[in-house]
Amino acid sequence: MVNLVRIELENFKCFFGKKDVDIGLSNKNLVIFEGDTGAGKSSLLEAINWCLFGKYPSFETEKVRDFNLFSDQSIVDADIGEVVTCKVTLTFEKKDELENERISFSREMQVKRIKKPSLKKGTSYSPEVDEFFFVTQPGGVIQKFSAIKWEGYQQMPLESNVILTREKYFPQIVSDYYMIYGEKFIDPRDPEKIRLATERNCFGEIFDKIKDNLTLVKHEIIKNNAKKSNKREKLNELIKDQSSDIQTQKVKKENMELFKKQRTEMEKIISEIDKEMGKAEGNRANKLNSEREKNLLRIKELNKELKEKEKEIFGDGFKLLIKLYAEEPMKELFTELSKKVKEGEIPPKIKTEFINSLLKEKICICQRKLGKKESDILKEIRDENELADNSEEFLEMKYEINSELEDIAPSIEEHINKLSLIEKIRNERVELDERLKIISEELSGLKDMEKLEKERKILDSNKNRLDADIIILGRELEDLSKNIKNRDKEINKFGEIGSDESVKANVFITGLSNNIEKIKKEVIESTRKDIESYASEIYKDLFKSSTKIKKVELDEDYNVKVIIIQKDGKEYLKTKFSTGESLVFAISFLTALRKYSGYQGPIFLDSPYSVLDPIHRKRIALNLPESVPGQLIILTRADTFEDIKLKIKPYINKVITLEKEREWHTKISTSKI
Amino acid sequence: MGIINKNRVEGFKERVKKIANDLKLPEDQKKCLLELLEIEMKHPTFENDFVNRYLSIISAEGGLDI
Repeated sequence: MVNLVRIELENFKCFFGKKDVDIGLSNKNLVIFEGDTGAGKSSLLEAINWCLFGKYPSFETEKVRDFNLFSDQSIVDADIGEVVTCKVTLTFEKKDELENERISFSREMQVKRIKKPSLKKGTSYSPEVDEFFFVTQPGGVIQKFSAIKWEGYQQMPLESNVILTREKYFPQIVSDYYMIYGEKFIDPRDPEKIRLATERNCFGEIFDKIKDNLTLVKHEIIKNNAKKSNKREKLNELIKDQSSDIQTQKVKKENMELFKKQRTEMEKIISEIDKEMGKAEGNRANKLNSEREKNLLRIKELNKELKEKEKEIFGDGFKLLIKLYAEEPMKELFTELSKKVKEGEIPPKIKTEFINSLLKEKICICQRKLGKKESDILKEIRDENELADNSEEFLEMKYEINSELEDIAPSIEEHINKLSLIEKIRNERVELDERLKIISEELSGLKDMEKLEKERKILDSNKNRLDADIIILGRELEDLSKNIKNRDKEINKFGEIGSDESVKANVFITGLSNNIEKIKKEVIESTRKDIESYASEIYKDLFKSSTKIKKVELDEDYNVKVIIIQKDGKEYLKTKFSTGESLVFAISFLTALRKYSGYQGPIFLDSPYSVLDPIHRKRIALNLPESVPGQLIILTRADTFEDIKLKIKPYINKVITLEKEREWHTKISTSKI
Repeated sequence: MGIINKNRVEGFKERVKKIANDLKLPEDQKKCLLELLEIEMKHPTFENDFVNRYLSIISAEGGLDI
């Protein structure tokens, strides 16, 4: 097994300054990094992935992405001309008593401050990428990737260039399958990814490589043995074309795989964006917007209605007021008011409000009067004026009041109704205004959603373009493959001439190539079955005694099904998986894959426990170190790990605590449990 | 060391041997394939350096004078 024994970080994201994590070699296979949310667990995994593969997940442009890997503090502190280094070094050691081999991979980049910080008034400083210059390495690259190898204490030369060395220890594919980022693990619902992982990790590619090489060797033999010169020229041409087509085919195949991978990545990002936006959130914004539109429309209607009613009531009110106050000064006042409004000295609204307030006052009096018995009103007036019951003055007044009340009573009642209607409309308008305010506030909170939507649209269009490219490339590959096949027949005819040995060699290689294809199919098929059976055992082991699982099936198309035995003894085929179940499948599948692929390095699991309920968390945490051989590096939140820490103590090599000292400053401390 | 350790290479060769037997592959082809697998797993060939290595294996295992 190849174990990660040391991590050295320098100014990488939240790891400001130099930080060393000494894991060391141990028989215990579990290494735990614990820390709260934001302490730097995922950044540590990013550091590992960046160091080995130069990859890091992000939506930003390459330059900004590179710049963002530098610790904020290191950038903020840099003076003009100062060079800041961002570096990650990983040291791996082989756990073997007979051999002692060690290899360190390093990736680093440097920036130099060329401009003063751009401090905007009233805002806090945020470093800008154009304030810095990226120091370039030989070959014009900004990242320097290097490796040092030791045998015992002796430094050894690398067998080939650093990328090929890395490929030997940690093939590119490892980053996809052995570094599990949170929930982005192998998905049992993604048969294509499972197929690729199975076939590529289990030597499927070696057979292809041998077949390609054999074809080229065969051409070499045929070329050397073709007798007639005119034919040889033709053959040379054919072989030249064939080799260029094979080369093109190889490149196109790689491109195709890259495109498909990019597509998967895009889908992953899109699904993350969707997740982030939350369909419900998207619907919420739509719902709010439609409610807002509806409210605005209703307010418009209400305003119109209000205007009409006010106009109506103002006209009526005016007449009514004249009736109620049929006195000269009042008439004069209204005439004066109307004149001033006409001349533009007083806004019509003031006049309306003034009249309405007068009207309200008078209406209140009349309302009160109407609400009382006639006799009470009369009594009140008589008392007020200190009149005798049968006095002539009182009788006259009684008559006047009666006729006045009779006269205006219907108008007042109608008016009161209209006023209450206006009040109702106003109230409704106020309520709608308030609701609009709330909607606006909520909508401004959803503005980020618009950004995400925009991003998603761009990704969608890129994905469509990629889909079109994939189709075109697929057609090109099909044509190319036809050409190669036809040309091969022609070349083979040349192989039938020449020395007996060369003819025999041609026949031998052709036969071998055909058989290699058959063996490859069989190997992949048997590997699929082996992985199915091993993954099934681990899956059952991890779920030990919680559910009665008969087996995990990986069918010919790499669809995952779990056969569960129900309480009544009947079998149930499960094809839908929860997040927790997907995680358990991912762990089982990866362990099986590692067993059959010969990958010796560690498996990284980012926050595996947080997607599990406490019972399964405990069960799986306890079963994990026994079920999964080899180094297992788990990054976990302290609270989800606390209850199981002591129980898995015998398997733990080290617990490394990541602690957020202050914003973007992570403190690392190591302890043996 | 390397990603593919010695035991895995042997284990894988055994698996291929069994499949080759089941498929009734001629003995010389079987031997040749196993040799080539070992090369590619332990010391992978790269551009231009495979022809002579392949030729020598094919000659030896296929009993050919090429």
